[in-house]
Amino acid sequence: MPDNFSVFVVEDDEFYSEVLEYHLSLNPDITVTKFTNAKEFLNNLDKNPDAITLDYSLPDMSGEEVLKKIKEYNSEIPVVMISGQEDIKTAIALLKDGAYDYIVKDEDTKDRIWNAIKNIREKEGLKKEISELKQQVKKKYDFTTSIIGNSPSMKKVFAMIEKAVKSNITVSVTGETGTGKEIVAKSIHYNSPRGKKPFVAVNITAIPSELVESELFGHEKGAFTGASARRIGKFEEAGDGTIFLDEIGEMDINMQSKLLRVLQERELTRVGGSGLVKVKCRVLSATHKDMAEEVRKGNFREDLYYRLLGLPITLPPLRERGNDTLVLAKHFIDEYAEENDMGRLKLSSKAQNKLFKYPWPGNIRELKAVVELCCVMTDSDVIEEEHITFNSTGSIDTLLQNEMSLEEYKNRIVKHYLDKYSNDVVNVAKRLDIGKSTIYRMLQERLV
Amino acid sequence: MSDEKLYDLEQLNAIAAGNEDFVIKMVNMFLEMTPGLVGRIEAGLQTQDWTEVRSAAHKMKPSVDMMGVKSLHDVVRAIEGNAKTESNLEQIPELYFKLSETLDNVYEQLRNR
Repeated sequence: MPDNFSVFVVEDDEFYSEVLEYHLSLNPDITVTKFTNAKEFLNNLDKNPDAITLDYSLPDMSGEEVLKKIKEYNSEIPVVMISGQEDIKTAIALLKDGAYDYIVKDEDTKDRIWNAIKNIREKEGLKKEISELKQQVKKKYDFTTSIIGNSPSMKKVFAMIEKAVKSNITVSVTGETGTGKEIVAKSIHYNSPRGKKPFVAVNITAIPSELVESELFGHEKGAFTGASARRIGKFEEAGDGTIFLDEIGEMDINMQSKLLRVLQERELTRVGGSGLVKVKCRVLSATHKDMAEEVRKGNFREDLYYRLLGLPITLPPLRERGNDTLVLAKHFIDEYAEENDMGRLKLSSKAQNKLFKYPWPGNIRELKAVVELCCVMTDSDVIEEEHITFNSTGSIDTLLQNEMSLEEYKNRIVKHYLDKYSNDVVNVAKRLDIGKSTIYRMLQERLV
Repeated sequence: MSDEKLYDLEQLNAIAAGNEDFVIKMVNMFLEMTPGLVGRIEAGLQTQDWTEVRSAAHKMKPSVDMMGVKSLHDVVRAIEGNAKTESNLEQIPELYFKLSETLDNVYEQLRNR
């Protein structure tokens, strides 16, 4: 709630305005300024009061006129009209003209005004909070700061995002897991003209396939067992905003045809309902799958594929982004250090090299996790090679993604065993079924 | 002069919430403002200026209510209503007389309270 709340009391009855001022000033946060005529008050309107109580019958101007002038100046200022007579017609007309409330002067007027001002304060507080939060969100998804990278492949991505922001086109984002597909979708939404409208993200894999339809399109009461009330779906929730269909490649083939119909007709029917609901939201989708391949295999409908394709944005995997790995690593280190009051942390050159060489199958998500762990593991302000641990899940795939020579693979495997068995050459030679001398030679040539 | 207490500061005290200065201020304001309004009603009556009568009576309502002058609650409203609709105008002088006489007593009682 705002601390200092300024109320203008416009009232030609001095006795009454005195009572109002006293009553409102009982709340120390409220500052009251009194005016006895419309002219004096309008001359001071540029002081921007937070709320106004306005007597309907002022000596120099009618209540309607004053209200109109206030609304012309700033339609946001709440105005409580106070009148000597109860007159429903006038009340309705004033409320239509934008008055916040209409109160008749009688014994409990002051309490009603007190409540009206209290409600206005709460409402204003919430409004300010919302607009601040909206600003924060927008800042967070300003893609020039939320998406980091200088590699040529990312420059292309930035160019595409810029195009997506300016137009209203459907966008499909593809990229391996952890490459930041959702951040791209949010950046497009929050920087587009729809930015102030809702952004609704739906992850298709997170919903049991039999519930996808009601989740997306909503359902009427009693549409199926457990549908105890009407519920609007994600498409309706998104309104004039944006819906983001993540992992669209996982959608069941029956559901695909239903989605296609909705996208073609731009209207939907809730499950168990009969009325049509207009679809006005923008559609963004994402997948880690090769959709063209899925279409060829018959797993994804070709017509839906083209309907969703729109402007395709392909996010490159981290291992193809060159120096971005280090740029991002430094960014995450700084971010983590700041959030945890750790002071500046640096990466030793060996540590940089280790990060640089790793293929990052989990992409940025994995990088972030690994780097944050480093920040915890180090005891000084330098992150060394040994602080970096990879916990990759699909290790064999990771290894194969490196596309090294057979010789290099051999060295890597021997090193892995040596690490695992504490450089016990005899044991390693036995396990790999190779000669001890081979390992000694490799060690001598510093291959492992 | 009647001994009956014609005013009741219960409502004013409730608003003041213990602030006696505010009560004194409002009572003084009532004492300063009201005679002028009574004068306006009288002048309006003499010139048959019903707009003036209505306006002065209208302005008197909050202060008369706040001072708890219950015997005048309906009187002030009747003057205002009759002047507004310009009906039953013959009742107004009598109502005015009641108003003026009661208020004189109220002033007296308030000054000596």
